Amino acid sequence: MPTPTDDLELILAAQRGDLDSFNALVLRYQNAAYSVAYRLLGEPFSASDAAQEAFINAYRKLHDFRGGSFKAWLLRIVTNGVYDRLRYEKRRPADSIEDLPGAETDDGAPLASHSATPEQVAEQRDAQRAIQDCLGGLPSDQRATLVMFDLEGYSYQEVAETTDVQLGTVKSRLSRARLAMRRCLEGKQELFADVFRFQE
Amino acid sequence: MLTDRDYDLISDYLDGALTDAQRATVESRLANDPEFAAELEGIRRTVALVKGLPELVAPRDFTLSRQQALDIDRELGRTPLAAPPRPRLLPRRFLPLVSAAASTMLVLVGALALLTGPARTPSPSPASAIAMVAEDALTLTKQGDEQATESQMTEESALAEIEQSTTETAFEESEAPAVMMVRPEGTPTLAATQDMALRTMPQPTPTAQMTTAAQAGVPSTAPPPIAPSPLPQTDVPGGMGGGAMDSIPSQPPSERPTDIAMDDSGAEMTFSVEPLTAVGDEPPADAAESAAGDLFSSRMADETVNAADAPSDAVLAPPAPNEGISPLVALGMMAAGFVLGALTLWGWRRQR
Repeated sequence: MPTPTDDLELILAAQRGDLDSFNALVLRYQNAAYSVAYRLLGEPFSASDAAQEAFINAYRKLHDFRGGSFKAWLLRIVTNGVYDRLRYEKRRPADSIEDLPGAETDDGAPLASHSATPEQVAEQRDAQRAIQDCLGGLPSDQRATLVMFDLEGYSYQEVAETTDVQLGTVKSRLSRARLAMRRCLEGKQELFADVFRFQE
Repeated sequence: MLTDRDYDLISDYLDGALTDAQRATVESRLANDPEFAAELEGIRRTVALVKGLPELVAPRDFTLSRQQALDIDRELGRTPLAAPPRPRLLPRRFLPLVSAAASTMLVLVGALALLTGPARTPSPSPASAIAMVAEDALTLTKQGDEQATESQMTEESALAEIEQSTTETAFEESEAPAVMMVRPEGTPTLAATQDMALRTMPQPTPTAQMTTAAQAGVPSTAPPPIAPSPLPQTDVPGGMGGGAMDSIPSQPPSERPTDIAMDDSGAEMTFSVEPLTAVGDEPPADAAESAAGDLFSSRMADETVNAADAPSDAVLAPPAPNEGISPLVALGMMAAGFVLGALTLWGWRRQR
């Protein structure tokens, strides 16, 4: 687990012109960046492009980094880039996530990064695919809010600044998104029967 | 049936974003409204599922190439953060292979040098040997001149010396390795030098006629490797004394005798000896130098005979490849090879 001190040394070296140090940071956080992009966009090809674009933007803004968590700074760049992409897609007539390039070839979420037995991997893969499907079924603004807040740990204020909406709107979107997810997952009894059995 | 407002309260309650009063209201409903409580629990577990989504593995590396970085720097008009790419003779992936090969070669060459032992003591080079002989010859000639004038060497002894010398020379020519001797044109023959040496002695009645190849003023000092060469020779009537030697008729090479011939009485001797001289020598300026060449030739003949007894490669072989590599250097090479190999292995494992 890299510490902020480790990050800071690499950042300082990168700011002095050491591209290898910057690329070391890229390698350290590329899974996190890709994951956020994938959760927000719902398909791998656009997520990969978005992650690459985010690292290029991070290189552009490297001298603007003023300390703190590099991971949070980087994921903010990822999220902003993806959200810009989502807003652009929303203005288009076909703004469904299924219409994004490569969505038709997406067969589900990639494997999780931690190792497990083949059976566990299969179960986890199915569950993650179901959650990702439910996420993809949300309106883009609700999905972005849910991912930022519940996955990335943003505060209401940070989500509001990123998505350029009022704080109340963030809370409302988050509430709608959670309810929609609950309804969606509850419908997948074969996967989440144990999770929602408390109601019976 | 819960309303949107109820779900907002549930969501805010789960996030800890309610005021104390709102939280008290929610907790009261949780105790009294099973549907409200079930929905809150369902939302809580949904959020847990979403938060439990694992970090994914990126399908590829997103590292920036130097060219990408330079393009960005140029676009932004700032001093390039990334140094321009350095041209590489070999792709980075080949470096471990090259390093491993180099270390192996070092170890092998060092081991080979060590196993074959230190370089053999090199035979004295022909050039140095000849130079040494020539120097001795000059000294001896001077001494010989003095002795000749003082002790009146007899003709018999002189002839015996000549005969011995020529016999050895003939032996040398027949048995010595051919490549050992090089005799260019314009170099003195043994016969000529013998003749000149004899001229320095008091001359009794001539009893022998020598066939010599004389080339006055031809050199014999400081020679490199020598070898026989078919130089034209000149038959010299055997006048050993006086001015008989001053006119030396030449003889074509085809008429050269090829062996020593002496009549029964021993009064007349004809011999042809391929002279031994150095390549590229300057001609001797006087008789003393010719005499020196004579002694040099005889000395070389001795050495050649000795050399002929030894294995030919001991004299003729070019310097061995490991010549000059001391055991210490060989050990150093092996050590360097091992160190390089260890570094290569360490770097390779670290890269993996």
